[in-house]
Amino acid sequence: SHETGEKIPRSFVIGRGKLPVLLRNLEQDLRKLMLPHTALHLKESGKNTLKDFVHVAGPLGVSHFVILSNTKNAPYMKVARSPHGPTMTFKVHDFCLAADVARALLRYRAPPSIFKNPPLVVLNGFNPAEAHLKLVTIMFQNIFPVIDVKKVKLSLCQRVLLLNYDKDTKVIDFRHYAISAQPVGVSRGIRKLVQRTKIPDLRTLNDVSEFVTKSGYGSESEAENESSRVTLPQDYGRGNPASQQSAVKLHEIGPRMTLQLVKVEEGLCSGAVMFHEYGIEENKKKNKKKKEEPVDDMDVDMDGEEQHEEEEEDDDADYYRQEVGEEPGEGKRNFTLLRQVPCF
Amino acid sequence: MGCLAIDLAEIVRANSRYFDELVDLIPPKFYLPADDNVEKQWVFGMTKREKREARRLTKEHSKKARRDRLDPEKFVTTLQVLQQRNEVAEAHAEKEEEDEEAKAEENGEGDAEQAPVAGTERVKSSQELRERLHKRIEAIRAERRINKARDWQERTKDASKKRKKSENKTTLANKRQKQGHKETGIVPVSSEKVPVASDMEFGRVKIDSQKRTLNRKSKEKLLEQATKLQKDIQDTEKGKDVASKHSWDAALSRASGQKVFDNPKLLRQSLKREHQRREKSAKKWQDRHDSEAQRAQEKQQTRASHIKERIDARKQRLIAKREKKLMRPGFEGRKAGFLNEAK
Repeated sequence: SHETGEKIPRSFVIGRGKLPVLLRNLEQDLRKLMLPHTALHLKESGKNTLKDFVHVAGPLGVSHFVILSNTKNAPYMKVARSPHGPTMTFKVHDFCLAADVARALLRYRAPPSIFKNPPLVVLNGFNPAEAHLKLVTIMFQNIFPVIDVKKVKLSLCQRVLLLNYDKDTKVIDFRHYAISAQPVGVSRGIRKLVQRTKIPDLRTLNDVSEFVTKSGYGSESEAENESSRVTLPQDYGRGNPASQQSAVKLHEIGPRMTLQLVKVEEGLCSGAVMFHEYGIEENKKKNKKKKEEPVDDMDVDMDGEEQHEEEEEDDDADYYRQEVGEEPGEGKRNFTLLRQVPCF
Repeated sequence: MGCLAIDLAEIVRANSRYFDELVDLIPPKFYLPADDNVEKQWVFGMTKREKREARRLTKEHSKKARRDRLDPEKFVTTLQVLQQRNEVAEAHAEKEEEDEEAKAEENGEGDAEQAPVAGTERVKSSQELRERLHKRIEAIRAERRINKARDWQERTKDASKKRKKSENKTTLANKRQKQGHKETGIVPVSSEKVPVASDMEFGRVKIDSQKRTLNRKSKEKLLEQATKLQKDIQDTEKGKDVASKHSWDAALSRASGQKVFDNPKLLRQSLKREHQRREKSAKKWQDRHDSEAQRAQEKQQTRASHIKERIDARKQRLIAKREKKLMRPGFEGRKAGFLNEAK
């Protein structure tokens, strides 16, 4: 960028394998989240392998990959750094599309202008003493461009990505909000007059003074959240001039996800496994083969490796436990027959 | 002094008569300023009919004026015109004074004040009015010039400021200087310290990194380091620790955007590519260098041959021309001599 003189990190959000409609929508929502430094209309065909994307990424200056894939167990999201960088694999426990959020809220506001600037990122609860958490923070901090505190315009910071880590459940909450500021200490009518472009309707009023006094002094939500009040160092949109008190409000847009970090690999979807949630030793055998089988039986190979014969396990139950992570028989389907299906 | 009595009055009179005659030589058009009585019409506010009327009137006036000019009975010398104008101006001035007196009386001023005021105002003549007008015009012009100069100065100052700013931006010393100055940015007001939980992390913020690439090792050195690292990892005793430590360090620095060169295979490839590129360019230069002399020689040869061809062609043309003369009917070419002639 011109201001910081550093390279702007760009990203590709791609899906691997055949994704159901919901995941394709999630992929589109993630692309919108990463705007403007991402390929919004990236076309991927079934024949493209990861290597193709990596080869294209070099000349285009793309530094990060966000890869969505689907398995019978759960969808997975990988965040990786382009040529030789580390890969973090997250299991998506739950997710919620931007369209669902829009339907749930009374006033969903996501004007296209807020996607012209990259979002801010806030991470909470990531204890830097643990190496894998530190890696997650660094990765997410570097997916978005560096902010030059002296030169940045406050009015261009209109979105924020929140990541919250709960150390008991080891689950990361992924949220995406739009930021707006409202002037504090004025009645609702005046605030709306200042902030909106619409001319107010005075039909029902007898006198202009009623316009000021009708809606009471102060807004309803002013009592809450003293901590959300800040003195703005710069102008922020209409009605929020610099060095005045304003209340900062967040409106949810965009997808919601509940993630769990499962694996960290040295290379781009390859290389040694540095961290595994369910233990490296137990999952060592799986490091050589593809851990999760794709939904359809087409062997879509992300890692570019050949599918190989399954190794013999002493105990079916043990094998099942290691593969899936839960006791056999607890899941919705009975997977014990998997082994007997021949692999091609 | 009787015989040398200098009659001053006579001298003055003679001089005056001389100047009058001089003035009479000049036609009034060139000597006298334009008649002020002609009102300047405001053309923009007039309707079409009015404009047509005005045009017609001016035409008539100009015709009349020309006839008067050339009419011998109406001939007026310059001096006479001047006198006439002065009389008119005085009459006008008197009329103005009377009007002013009338107004002043209405306002309730005393008569005693009128006398001196009237006296001074009577001196006004058309000449003086004209001079005052010229002075005012000059004053306005001077003001305008001053304003223009000021604007121009400001503009050049702005331009020089801008240039200075852009120069200042680039120099590092100025950057360091600027850090001392107070900057208005998103640095929060110190009175309001928002309490931040210790676990919270935010996006990356730029810190002035003055040391950018001080240590850039050569690829060979990096290769050495990488191979050494590999060897350490192979070493069974401490290999695992070294490997894990290195992998975490590498992952963290790669995640933050720094390049880590730890794969000796890739480094060797890169070295080889570099080496091949250098070789190729050296070879190209050598070829060019070698072939230069040869090419120069070739060019000279072709040039010489072309010149020679041209000369030969010219000679042939001349010969053909000469021979053409001898192509008479009945004869073919030169005298070949008799058949019996001794050779």
